[in-house]
Amino acid sequence: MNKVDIVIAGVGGQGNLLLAKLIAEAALLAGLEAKRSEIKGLAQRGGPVQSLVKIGEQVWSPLVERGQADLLLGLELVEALRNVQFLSTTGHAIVSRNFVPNPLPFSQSEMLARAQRRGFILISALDLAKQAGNAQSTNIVILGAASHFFPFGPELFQEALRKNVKRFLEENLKAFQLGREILPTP
Amino acid sequence: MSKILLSGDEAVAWGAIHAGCCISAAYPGTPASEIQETVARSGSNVPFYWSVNEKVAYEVCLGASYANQRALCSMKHIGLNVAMDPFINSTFTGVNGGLVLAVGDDPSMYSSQNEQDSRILALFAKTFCLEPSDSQEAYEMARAAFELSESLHLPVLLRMVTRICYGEGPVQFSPERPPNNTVRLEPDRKRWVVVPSHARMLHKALNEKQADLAAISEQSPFNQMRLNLKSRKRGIIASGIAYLHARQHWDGDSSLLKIGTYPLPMKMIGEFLDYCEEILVVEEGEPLIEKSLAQLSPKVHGKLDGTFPREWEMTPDLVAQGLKLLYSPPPAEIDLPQRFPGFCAGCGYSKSFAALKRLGAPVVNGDIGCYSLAVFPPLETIDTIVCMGASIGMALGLAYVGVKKPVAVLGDSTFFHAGLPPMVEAVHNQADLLILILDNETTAMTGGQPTPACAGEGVRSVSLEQVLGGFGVPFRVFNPYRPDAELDQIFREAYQQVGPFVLISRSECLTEAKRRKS
Repeated sequence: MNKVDIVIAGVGGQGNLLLAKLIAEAALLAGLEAKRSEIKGLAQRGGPVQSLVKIGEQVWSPLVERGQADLLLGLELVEALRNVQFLSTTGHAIVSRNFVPNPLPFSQSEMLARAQRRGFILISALDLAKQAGNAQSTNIVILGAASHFFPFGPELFQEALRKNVKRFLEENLKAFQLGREILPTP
Repeated sequence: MSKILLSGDEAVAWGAIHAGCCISAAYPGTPASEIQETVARSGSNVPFYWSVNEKVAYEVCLGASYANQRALCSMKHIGLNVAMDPFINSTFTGVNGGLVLAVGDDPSMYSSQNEQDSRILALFAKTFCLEPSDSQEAYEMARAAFELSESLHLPVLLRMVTRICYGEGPVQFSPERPPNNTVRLEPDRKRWVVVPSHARMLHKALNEKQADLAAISEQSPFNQMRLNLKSRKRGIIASGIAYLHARQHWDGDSSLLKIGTYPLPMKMIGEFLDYCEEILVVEEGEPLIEKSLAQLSPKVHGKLDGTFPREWEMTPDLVAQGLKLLYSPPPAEIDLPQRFPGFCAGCGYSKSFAALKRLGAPVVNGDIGCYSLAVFPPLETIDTIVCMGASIGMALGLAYVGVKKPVAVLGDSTFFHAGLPPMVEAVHNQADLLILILDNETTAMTGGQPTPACAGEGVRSVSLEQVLGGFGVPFRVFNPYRPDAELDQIFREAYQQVGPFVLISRSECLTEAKRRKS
């Protein structure tokens, strides 16, 4: 009950780890258990970064199984596609249209087509982040959009933001709101 | 006090602090660097030292332990190879103040040159090992390890893995024990001096102590057995984080044995083995538990019979397959563009590597650090990487057998860690080498820990130039942001020298500079 398994996919420098931390802390504020797992080191140097968050009444393994993720949050298009095996048949993929071609070029239109075939919910996160006043806040835009799919309200994410984010707090709260408004409440 | 979210690394650090740890020493290495980082940030006043390498870090802790101080030593699994010499002998000499060695193994090699299982090295050294399955247990085991170390007079190894080190979970602290170990030095040469006549007796005493270790393991609350009284059909034995993967799929129909201590509780395991008709062993790393059973019974399944792969990390997916659970993840996306890690934008290292590539030396021996990224496209400049300091040592071997002017490339921190002895040999034998030291004034790959060349409050900078000058090896320092034509000339001139020559590419780590500013 109240179980949400989340995979966050992106590349270094996109605020992947902060996003995972905010989700885990919000879950804790909701009185749920939360576990978070991430890979640092070599992966940080522009390589793929994957964070896993699991929340629920009781969480055992911190690792999300393939086919079991309720949410796939993509900060980058190709990395979201790379992690698609984790998504459950009833899960939602909320993915930024942003893409980082480094170092090899690829066709963005092909990647977008693949994402659409997979039923990804594609979000113009960079535009919304800029609108909120901070281009770095794409991760928070995605969090806002994803906030509809948790067993607790947006106020806990906002509280976690206030606790953990010191710089550009107002812009980040705005980014959260813009992200949340992009999707209708299910 | 309520629960807080901590990584396993943080939990170990807090466990040590709350156990009255008096000193911490480490050499940074993924995934264990954050243990001492946490001690440093804790505000606990536990003195901490970024030692020059893991061997020195361990010796620092051993010295402190002889003086009755509780000491925490942390390193990555490969660091234990470097520290193996004092570690294994310290089980002969024994310890006084509790000595806890926290080692971060890296199954799947997310940021490592190999995957090896530190439980085996603990048993090889004939000492006790604890293996946590989550942050809470990492905290509790760190505390228990100090008590065990003092009661057994042995160093105790805490075996972590990447997913424990960097996995974050809730932790409930228990009341602190004040650091009340007073410095007390009572020399005991029969114990502390391992000359052969003493060592023979010490080995005997260590072997006799093994029965105590086994007895503690049998009684330990970190091992838990649940027998299903209704069915003997299946049992699962699991340890560390693999226990959580197994627990996720545990339906209550199987019996379950959780292992957290080594040497293994063989009586408990024997009872479990007798009770269950089929046994699945789930463990991270080598099939250590499984090997202790497999000779006894063909009903055991794990890594030896091919139920699980022998390499890479254990996952809940693998456990599900091992339990033959229905399993159908969606198909993967194929032919996605591969993404290589690379140097941070504008890094001086990449400029030096580009110049080195243009130089076109026959062989470039690399080393351990950020600069291993020069293996990947577009630079593709490094031909060998083996271990810390091996760049110079292997270049020596190549030069000795007649390969024309091999190049060795290593970082400043790596040079102090393991580059000094082979550099001395290169000078002594006047080997024809070009050695490129990439000096970014920090240990960058692991998060910007200081090097011996860093200045600061209460420490003196050990200058690379003075060290090399003292060795009597010619060198030249350059700024890698100079125009390409100038860099090419610097490299060509250096390469034309006869005998060992050192180039020092000096530019501040940009990531570290940004970190300092924010």
